[in-house]
Amino acid sequence: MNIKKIREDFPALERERNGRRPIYFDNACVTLKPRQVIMAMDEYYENFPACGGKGRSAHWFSQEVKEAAEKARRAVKEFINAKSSDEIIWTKNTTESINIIANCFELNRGDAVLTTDKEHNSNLVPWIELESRRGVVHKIVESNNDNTFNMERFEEMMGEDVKLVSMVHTSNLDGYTNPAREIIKIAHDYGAKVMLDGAQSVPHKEVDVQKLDVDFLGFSIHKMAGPSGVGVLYGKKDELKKLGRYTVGGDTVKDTFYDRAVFESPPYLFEAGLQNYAGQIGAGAAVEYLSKIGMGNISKHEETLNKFITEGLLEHEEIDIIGPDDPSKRSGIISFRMVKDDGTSLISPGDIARLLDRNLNIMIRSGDHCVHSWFNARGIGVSGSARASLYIYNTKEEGEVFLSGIDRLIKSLN
Amino acid sequence: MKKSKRIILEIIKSKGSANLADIESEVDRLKFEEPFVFEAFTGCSIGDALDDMVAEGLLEKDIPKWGIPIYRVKSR
Repeated sequence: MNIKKIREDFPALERERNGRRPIYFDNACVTLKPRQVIMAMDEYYENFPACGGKGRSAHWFSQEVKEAAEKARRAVKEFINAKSSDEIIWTKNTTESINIIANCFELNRGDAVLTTDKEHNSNLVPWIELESRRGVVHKIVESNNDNTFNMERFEEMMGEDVKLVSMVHTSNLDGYTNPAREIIKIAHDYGAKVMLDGAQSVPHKEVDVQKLDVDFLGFSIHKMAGPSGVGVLYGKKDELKKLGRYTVGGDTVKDTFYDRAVFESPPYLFEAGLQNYAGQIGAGAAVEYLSKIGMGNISKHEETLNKFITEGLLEHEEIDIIGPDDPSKRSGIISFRMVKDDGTSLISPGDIARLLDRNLNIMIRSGDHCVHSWFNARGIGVSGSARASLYIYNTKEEGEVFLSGIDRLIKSLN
Repeated sequence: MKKSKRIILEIIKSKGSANLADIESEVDRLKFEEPFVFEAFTGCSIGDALDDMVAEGLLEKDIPKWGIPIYRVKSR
């Protein structure tokens, strides 16, 4: 894996401010985009900026749109090793993918949905809503003290009432990856289906839906070198057929009369209205780009960098890292706080982020990372944490600059 | 004045001076003890509120190059 060559693909890394290049460590939120993706999207806008899809125009440009968008769907299918392209539904993002399941999976009053205590709001709020609107029971599996998955507690909470397990695969809070295969096997033994929030796993490691035997998987293309506004909902073909309808209208029907509609099958049933064709084409280019680098190489690179940064951070007794101590269990995420002996903040995560940005062009995230519930339960919902999150173009040299910034911040207090 | 800003002023007054971490920790402590604090700070960015209060002349802000900004109540 040639990082120098990879970096040349990302025009945003060529920018300068105050004589310094950017150090982009906010990849868990949105990643930068390579030229290959930008060019693929430009090609749509420059050469065939028309409509595509079933039942729309049959002309030259429209045919090119349709071919390019379906090629992208096939690329995504290959990327996660789905059985069929029909199992790939284009959405706006992971949030929409989860909302489709929350609204369309058959859940009746008294049925239970199981999540963890580390869910992004995207996989928490839909279930809170369902609990209040439809009387669905939302159960939460509490993590171990080091934020790892508590398998015993999970097994104790499983029962015939649990119809759906909807869990984060890799946490955006601390980078820990839940043991999905084991969870899915147990859930299936109880007759429950499993939805995985793959927003932080699919961009960073090999995710094979057939090996996992997962029923549904959602992820966002903007976190994997692709455009914003495009997400994916994968579902096993038979499971997708059982779902109720979501947004309906143009493209979701084969035929209509004044009093009834004949609906399409998945994936088109869930892709209402004119689509984000440039985004879908960009998504195809993004997964092809990542595939060429190799997902195994990407996860290994992030793990090496995380280890280097973690070791540097832990030289300071003020640093408290959220999640397991072992960086190899935290993907490319380092979520940390600078604390006093009593556990309260020494430096606000907001100040850490602002000072690193202002002085060294290092971009990290601060706050609750859309996992407010986890921070509130620990009485630090206002403070939150600082989070550095890594990707393919980040280097050890950038890690050194980041550590020097943290060092200067701590020294400035004395 | 907004409730959140009034509470921030009280916190800084009681400490003499405070940085963002001091204020956040105090709000975190009060948030679940006092319902009005919870209400005042839900969805509120304390950093933005502090910037506003500096612009409104309520607070003074010391900004050392690498140090953490310190806030004091402006004397009248």
